[in-house]
Amino acid sequence: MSINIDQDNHNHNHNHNAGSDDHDDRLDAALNAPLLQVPDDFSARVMAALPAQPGAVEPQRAAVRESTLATTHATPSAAPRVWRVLQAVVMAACGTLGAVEVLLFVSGLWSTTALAVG
Amino acid sequence: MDPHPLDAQGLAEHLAQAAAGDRGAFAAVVRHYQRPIFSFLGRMGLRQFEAEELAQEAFLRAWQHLPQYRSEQGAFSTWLYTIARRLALNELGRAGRRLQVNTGDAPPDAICDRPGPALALQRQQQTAALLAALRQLPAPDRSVLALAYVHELSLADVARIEGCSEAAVKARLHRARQRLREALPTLNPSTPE
Repeated sequence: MSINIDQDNHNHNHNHNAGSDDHDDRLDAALNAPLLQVPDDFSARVMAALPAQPGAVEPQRAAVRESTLATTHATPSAAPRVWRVLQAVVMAACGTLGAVEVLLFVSGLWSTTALAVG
Repeated sequence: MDPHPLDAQGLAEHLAQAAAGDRGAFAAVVRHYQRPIFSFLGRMGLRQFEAEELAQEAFLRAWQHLPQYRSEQGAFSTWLYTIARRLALNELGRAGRRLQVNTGDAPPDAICDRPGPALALQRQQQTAALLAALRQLPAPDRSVLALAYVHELSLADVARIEGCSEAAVKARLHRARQRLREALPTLNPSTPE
């Protein structure tokens, strides 16, 4: 019989009749007995299924993981964040170069036209 | 009875090491809790294969969320049983029809100590009857009953996991035990053990 059941029963051994006590004892014994068996290799199976680090999420699980997990990614996601920043910088630089090239082209057209008209 | 006991300090150390990524420390935690978790899932009325899946998932989630666990917010066991209970209730909700009373269930695997054949058969029958009776109980009754028999949890812990007062836990526990007695004729005092 577990400790908290003792609390719950309020010392029933002193209050109830012997038949009821016997039944309660049998019930407690039955509920305390292992109803299921732990496989011998259970801990090995669990360890094989674990991601490398606590807080890491397998890709297929990521979609269904609760939002609370997102906060656990600070350290593992540091490298991808740097990569994303680098990508953004390169994209901005390329965009600026492209815009300058277009402006130079338009400017050349304008100058040529102006010279031809003038 | 646990073949891999850890005292409170040892458990705290293993948890800290596991949170830092030490898989060996977490393996010790798994071995420490695997038997009580299986017992809990058994009292929830789950079958062997379901319990194996859910227990594995519970430990997997514990590992994944371990950096978020704070010991000052509660014991690790309370945290772990909260995860296991939620998974079990989800499973019971999903598979409600499958978990209806099924007297044709195969008897569960024999318990590790091996008594004589007649006694072993009787124990198997009693265990099968108990599982069938547990499956007749509503999921909330099963939950409070299953938690109440976890030796590591106090009444306050059960109340915290169940999200209700201790008085409510006592009332629900009394009702669950009463229902279980009614559904369990094989444990009648007149029945020889």
